[in-house]
Amino acid sequence: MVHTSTLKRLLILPLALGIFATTPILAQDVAEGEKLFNENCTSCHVIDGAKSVGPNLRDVTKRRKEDWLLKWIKNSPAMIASGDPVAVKLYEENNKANMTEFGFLSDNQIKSILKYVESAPVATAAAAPAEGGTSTSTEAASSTSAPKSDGFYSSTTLIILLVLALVLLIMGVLLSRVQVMMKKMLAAKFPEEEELNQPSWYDSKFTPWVKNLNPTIAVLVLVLIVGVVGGGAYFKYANEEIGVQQGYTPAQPIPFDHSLHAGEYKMDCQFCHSTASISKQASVPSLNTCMNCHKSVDASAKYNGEVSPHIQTIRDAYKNNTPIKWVRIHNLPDHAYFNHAQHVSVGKLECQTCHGPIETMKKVEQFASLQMGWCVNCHREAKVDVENNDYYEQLHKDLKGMGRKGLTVAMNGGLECGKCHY
Amino acid sequence: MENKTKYWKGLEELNREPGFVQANKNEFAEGLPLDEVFSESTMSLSSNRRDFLKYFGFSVSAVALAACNTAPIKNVIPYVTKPEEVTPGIPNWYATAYEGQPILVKTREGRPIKIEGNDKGFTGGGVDAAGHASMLSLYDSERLDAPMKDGKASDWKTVDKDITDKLTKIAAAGGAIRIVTGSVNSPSMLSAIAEFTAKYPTTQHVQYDAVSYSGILNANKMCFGKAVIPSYKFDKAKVIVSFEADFLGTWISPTEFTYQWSKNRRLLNGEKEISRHYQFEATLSLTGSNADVRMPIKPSKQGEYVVALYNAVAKLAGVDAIASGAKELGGNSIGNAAADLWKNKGNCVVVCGSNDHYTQCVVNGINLMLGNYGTTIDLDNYSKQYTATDDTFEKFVDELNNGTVKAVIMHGINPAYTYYNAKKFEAGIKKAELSVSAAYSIDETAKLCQYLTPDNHYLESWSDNETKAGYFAFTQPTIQRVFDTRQVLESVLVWAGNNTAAYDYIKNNWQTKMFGLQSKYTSFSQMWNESIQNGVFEMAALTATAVTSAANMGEMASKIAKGAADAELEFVAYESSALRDGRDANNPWLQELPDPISKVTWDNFASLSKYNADLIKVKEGDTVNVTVGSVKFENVPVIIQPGQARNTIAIALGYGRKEGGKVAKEAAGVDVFPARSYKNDAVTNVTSTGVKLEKASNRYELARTQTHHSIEGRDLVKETSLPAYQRDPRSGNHDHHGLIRDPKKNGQFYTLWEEHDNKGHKWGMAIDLNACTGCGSCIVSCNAENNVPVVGRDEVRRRREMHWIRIDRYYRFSPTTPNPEDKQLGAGFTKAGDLGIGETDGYLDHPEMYDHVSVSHVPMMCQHCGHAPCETVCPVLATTHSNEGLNQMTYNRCIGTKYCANNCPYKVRRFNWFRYNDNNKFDYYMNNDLGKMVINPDVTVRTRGVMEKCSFCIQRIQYGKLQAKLQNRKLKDGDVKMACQQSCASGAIVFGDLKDPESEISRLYRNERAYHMLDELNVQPAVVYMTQVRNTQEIGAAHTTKTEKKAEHEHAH
Repeated sequence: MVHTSTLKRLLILPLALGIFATTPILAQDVAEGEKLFNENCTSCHVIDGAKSVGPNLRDVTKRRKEDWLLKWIKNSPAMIASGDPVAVKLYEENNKANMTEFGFLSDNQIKSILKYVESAPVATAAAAPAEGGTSTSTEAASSTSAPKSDGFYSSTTLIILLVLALVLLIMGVLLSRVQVMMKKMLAAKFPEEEELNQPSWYDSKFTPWVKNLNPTIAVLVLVLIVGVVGGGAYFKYANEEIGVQQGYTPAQPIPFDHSLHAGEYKMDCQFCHSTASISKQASVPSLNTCMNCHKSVDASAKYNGEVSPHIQTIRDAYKNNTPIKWVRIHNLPDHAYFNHAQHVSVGKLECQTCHGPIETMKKVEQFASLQMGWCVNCHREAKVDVENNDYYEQLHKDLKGMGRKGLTVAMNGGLECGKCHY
Repeated sequence: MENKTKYWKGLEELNREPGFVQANKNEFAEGLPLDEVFSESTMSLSSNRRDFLKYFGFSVSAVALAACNTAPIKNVIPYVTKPEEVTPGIPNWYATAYEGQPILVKTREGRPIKIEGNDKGFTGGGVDAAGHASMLSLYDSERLDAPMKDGKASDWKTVDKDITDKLTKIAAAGGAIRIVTGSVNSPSMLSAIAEFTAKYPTTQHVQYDAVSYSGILNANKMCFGKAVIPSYKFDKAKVIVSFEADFLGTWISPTEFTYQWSKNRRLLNGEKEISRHYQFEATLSLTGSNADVRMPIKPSKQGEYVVALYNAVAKLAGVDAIASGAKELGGNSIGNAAADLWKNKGNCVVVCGSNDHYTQCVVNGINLMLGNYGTTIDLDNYSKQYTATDDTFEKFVDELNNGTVKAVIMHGINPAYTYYNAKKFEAGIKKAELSVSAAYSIDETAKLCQYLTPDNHYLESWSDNETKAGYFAFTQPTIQRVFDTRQVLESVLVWAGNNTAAYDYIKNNWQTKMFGLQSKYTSFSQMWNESIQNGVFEMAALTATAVTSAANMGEMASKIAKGAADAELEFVAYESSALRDGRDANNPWLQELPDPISKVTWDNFASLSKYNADLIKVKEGDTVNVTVGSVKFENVPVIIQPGQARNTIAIALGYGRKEGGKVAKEAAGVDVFPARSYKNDAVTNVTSTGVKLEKASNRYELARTQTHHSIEGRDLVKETSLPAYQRDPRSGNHDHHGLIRDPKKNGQFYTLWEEHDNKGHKWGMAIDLNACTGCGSCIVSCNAENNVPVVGRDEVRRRREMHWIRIDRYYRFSPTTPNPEDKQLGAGFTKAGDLGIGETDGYLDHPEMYDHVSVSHVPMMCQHCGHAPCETVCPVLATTHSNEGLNQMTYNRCIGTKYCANNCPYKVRRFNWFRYNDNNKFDYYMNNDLGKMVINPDVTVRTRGVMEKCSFCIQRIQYGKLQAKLQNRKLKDGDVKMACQQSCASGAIVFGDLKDPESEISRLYRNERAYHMLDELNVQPAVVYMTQVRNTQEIGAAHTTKTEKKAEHEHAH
């Protein structure tokens, strides 16, 4: 009997662990919203405080309906053009500045942002405005901003926390058992002491409760909990193992800031990634490309007249003829063939469609999941511009004859295995 | 079905041997190796609860541990300074030359990954198998990576100092120095050697070819006063008579000759004539298998046959016959050949592979009578591919042995292996005070040398090759040197005290010496740049002139040795078309390339006639001991070769390497170089006396691919004769399958499946059986393009070779009427000859029928069926149809049920039984980092457990389409070329878009000769074959009809 009861008591542990582990999952929407908000919105909006470029967002969900917001965020110029009264008013109020179109955000992502805005604590001092200050000192910002969104979820942290919790729980149980044993010993020694002979909570309540548990149900519950927790961990592991690394934001040997180069200085992506329009690879620029500018640009203004240490790294590497080992962020598996030229030059896609708002990223992260479903979904929706490329001449003629319009990539064989796997 | 086989792939199939019948009931030769796996004591099929818990516990903890890992960090390392011409992801093409043949090399990110033909060159854009495979040698992990001194690693400074010191000392003492190389036709190399000779005046340059053309060189010297190999123009020859010259496989310039020969075999544009090709030879060669009329003759009788032909032509020409004393031979064949030649005088050619200059002189005499000089034979713009004569090397070996030669510098040769008396050479080289070898890897000769000064691979070198007089092919590097090697040209210069780099030296040489010889360009830099870009430079060709012979034919003929008696056994050592003299024996692509005729991989073998095999009672799988003079070859596996001349034994050269690398040693085999001998100033491959043959006790299974796929008596080859074709272009290609046509669907066959909706493109391929010679170049090209792994001899034996394209070789008893002499060999031959098309059941009693077979080569790859049987049976939709008509294979979906392979009527799907990369069991190029550099980055390297097959080079299709889209234009016909297609010197393979009615492929689809393989299955293949038309006498038509009726009859049942 003792054995069974111990077993039953042990059932409690995973239960506790399960609850512990699911808490962050519930908080995910808001966390994701916060991340997206920081990435996409902060350059023009704050929630409280001094008005930035666009209106403050406190209680925006109360002011406007969710449907309207979704539409507005995705494509505000269209709404203004369609004559939506609220939209037009907003446009007038904000110095006729168009809000960026966030077509690449999904409905759920926008909803997460809204959820975050709802739940965001009232800002103290100027924390929020500092976020959006791309025009202020970027170096300083990078050290304070950009919450480590991937920190909590990284599997290592999770595992360490779980193990820690487990150890603590075991210690707690052991200590309480020691205490109970001590009490019992005392009671045996001093049978007349009534206070000592009072049955403990453990003996009077917990033990009978455990003993009364239906063993079958208890085991099932145990299996369920282990299944959920273990399965969740495995899913996450497997997801990473097959290369799904959405949100992957590795540290780079040089903290190259895209929000400065592509955002503030508005350099064209292909100025550096020059092969994207002609080749399979977009290619990370070679050092001589960097040196075109950084021969003279040294950001010394920010470093008290000294050359920026990062720029110095580039110059040294160039001088010593040692290439810089960047960490590759977008890793397609070997069996998937992707060609930039096809998408950039023929499909005329913006880089941002797949890589996200690069021009706002201080540290580049993997924006899209790069999973096949993500590819395929786009192939289902994207239209083939058969009219403006002579390659499609015959196809265009055929389709016209058939009276078909709006050929998508999928209709042109874009979902076939052999288009990407060979 | 039993005895009605019209075409057969091997004797076991023809004779329906029980083992063969049994083995072919299964799609795969062996089932899953489950017994092997479960035989280990710890593994059993019934696992108990404890095992379950153990595995469960292990996997849970493994997952937990694995989950702690973050994804591995991958780096992306850009250039420091990007070279202007290199764009990651875009291939660069360079024109260079392989053994003097112009080629193009495709490089990606600075490494060569594919060789293709240069259509500006004389090979018409073709490359042979060895040429394709030469790229793999660049990434050979066993090549020398630094100079060596006395077997130990050294450095260039030490080695150079030692060598120069010793050379200076030797030269000062008047000791002879020899630079011994293969044939050298590079003017710059010759000039470097001249500089070397100027510095060390006791130097002589000796050239040595393992298989030389001394006979032709000497004969032309005797007849015309110049020791050259003429340029042959098979495209201008309407009649070709070849004595033992395997000009499509190995003789002089096979790629060039294949290109020329095939031009006269085309019947695609309404031509009515093709060339007629006679072949007289001992063992069935690639060329013989493509001949219209082939006569097996004993090699010792070759001279007499040549004289007989001379006399037959002389008779027609009204010239005096030459007294030879030989009885008139050849009967009909020689008579017919002479008549055909005379009819086409000036437009025909007679060639001979003999190394006997007397025989070659008589051949010259025949060509002179026929007026072929100046038309099909060009002595003015002659070939410089082989310039070595055996007598110089013979003299050199004697000098080595008597100690007069003090210093030897060798390059590009391996006499310790290829010289017929290797022991004598070995003894001699040890006497030299200085021996240097610029070997590429440690071979038999390099082992004997004091200093090894490794040469660059040709893809790392600069060179100018004067392949033909006035025709230059440039070699330019396509990759930075991989190791610390040095081009031999530079080495020779350094030792001569000249430190100029190869590029500067060659360029300077051209500026100072060659530029003045031409008149095409006025600016040197323009000439240089254009020549390097094109890969070739041609001086103005000289007008070929007719010549007269100085040699007396009668005198020559009288010196030709008399043929041995019919019953005397004779031995022939021949070059196999892939391995040639064995210099590429360490190349796994070539080792695994099936021999075009025997389909044997990884081995050489004794080729016997059925007659001789029966005499000593051996079957395939047995081994024999062959004694040639004093040399004995033991336990040589036997192949019973249809078409082999009786009482001849043939074994290929190039095997039995003792050094040269792991693959070379793995291939093993017997080394028959010692069976050769020196006679009449030349090394001959033939031994006519003292040859013995006996059965050995061992058995040996050759890794042979020929009957891996049973044809079950189906009608796969369609052929006809030229006269029948002239009457009816559709002859041999009439429908005979009696399938029901659907009147509603435009007369199409009834079908179960919906038609595919092909938008944009519909890809198709046509293969001209008349042009395909079966050389196998396409197979190696496909291997390189599609990362097809090498599986090794054992796996080939288990029928697990991975080649995406194979060439099926079918035999058929020759329908041509043999000469009367042979007729006497067996009663009933005439009847059997008539029945040679398959309806006989008497052939087993008539072994003489095996002497005369005709051969068809049928390239076979995925047919990309419109209604593909494989697609409907895949349970996971891993093989699907594209809207461009491709049958696609998705490796990541495939779970390896192999249903598709079972259901494929063409047997073209190959299953990955193992992971062939990074696997020590398959220690070929995919098992080391250097070797993997050859992998095409655009094609997935397949893993274990998935099916694969020809993809129609989908990466090339996609690339071609993308280029068109980027350039905003329509896809042009010819923009997309398959790897097999571009490698084919004879242009037998055509690929293109069937949606484009003007395309070449659409035109071929409409041709009367076009037929689908196994049309009766109505799987609607995307590949058409063009019927084979043989230029034989009036046969065929009647038979064809008969067979077709028969076939129809069979189908009806």
